[in-house]
Amino acid sequence: MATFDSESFPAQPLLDDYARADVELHGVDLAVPSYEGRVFLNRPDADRDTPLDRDGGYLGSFFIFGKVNCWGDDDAHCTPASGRKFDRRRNPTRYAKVRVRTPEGLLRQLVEQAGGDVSLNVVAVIPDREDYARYSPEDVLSFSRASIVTYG
Amino acid sequence: MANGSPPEDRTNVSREDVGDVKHRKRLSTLTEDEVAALREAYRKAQEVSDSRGYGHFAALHGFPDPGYCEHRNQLFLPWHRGYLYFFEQALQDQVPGVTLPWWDWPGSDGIPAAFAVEQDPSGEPNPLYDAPVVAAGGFRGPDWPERTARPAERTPTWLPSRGLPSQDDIDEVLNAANYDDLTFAIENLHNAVHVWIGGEMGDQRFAGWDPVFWAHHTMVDRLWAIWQVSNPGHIPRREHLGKGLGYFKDMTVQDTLNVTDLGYDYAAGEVLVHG
Repeated sequence: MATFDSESFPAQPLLDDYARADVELHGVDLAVPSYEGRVFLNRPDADRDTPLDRDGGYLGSFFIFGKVNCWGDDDAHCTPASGRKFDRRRNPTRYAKVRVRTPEGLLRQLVEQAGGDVSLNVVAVIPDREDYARYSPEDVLSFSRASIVTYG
Repeated sequence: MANGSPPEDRTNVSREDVGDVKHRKRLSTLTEDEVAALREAYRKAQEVSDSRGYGHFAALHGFPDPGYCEHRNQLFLPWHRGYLYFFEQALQDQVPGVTLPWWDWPGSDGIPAAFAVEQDPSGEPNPLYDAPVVAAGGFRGPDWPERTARPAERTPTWLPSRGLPSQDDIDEVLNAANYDDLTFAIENLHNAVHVWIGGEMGDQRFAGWDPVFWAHHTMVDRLWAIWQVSNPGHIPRREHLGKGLGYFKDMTVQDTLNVTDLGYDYAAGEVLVHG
């Protein structure tokens, strides 16, 4: 997918005890072309041209240095059983967690600005350049779970 | 005071003689002779087709077995420190004393000159410009590119500066309060530079073949080393410390925690003073 738009959720409870806020994406697929993931709060209309403006809901970006595809005969190669004793073969790190640390105070500002439930939005952007012409942002963004984690 | 011939210290030769730690230097401050030594080491390593050669090490970054680089986890920094350590020694096998220079992103407005020109000063192909994409033993996959290439066009990076990482970006990374935050932040910055360069550098499978990969990662390693000095005791999680580094299985995470134990340190510059 090129974009992810969460369902609306109540974020107000996150503000009760909050000094730091991270957006976490789990199970992010790395066997894809490299891309930037731009993370917004409450901007389901966001696309690659949306300004990276804090007041406009931009929380930050993560950058995926992708491996394009799995080297193996099929995808099972990249999801092997892990931790077998004496097995020197590395577990290919196909899936990973990414984290975007948001600027201090921004979550509070945006949630209060919204005044109600909000959504989390991620826009995948690939370089607008010849060497990426064979790739599509539709093919890059894949993860299993998203959350916002706050620390007091 | 006797005036003899200038000491022949193309890189770190005198340090090697006394067993001192070698200096990895800022790329932009290397003398012409030091850049020539680096070119010579790369050229010779690229001519070796077995497990001592450039292709062997380059392939370890993207090949699944038995190597594979570590990304997006706490082993990212230790694995790449070990990777640089062994590659640097392979270069030193070709030109004693040569060390990996670090690419000072904020002080640079593009690909460093030594790596950006197609020919060396004598008109020969510059081995720092590109490399054949071939693994040890001459192995090549069916869909592999012949040589590394970088697109001529540089698009804005994804960083706030829209260019290479600025000193502000780096300062933010170095402000990380713990190792976990540090490794996430450094890797994100590092990823942006990979994709900004593009071509093989933007593709994890082939990035190790691009000669500038090593200067880029030496900068990454330097940032970790700097952070370590001001954050003693902050290390990867204990469960990782005894782990071997993939292909370099006899080097553990613990072994990577002190750069001077590995025989090198980072210098911003050096001037030889002759008598």
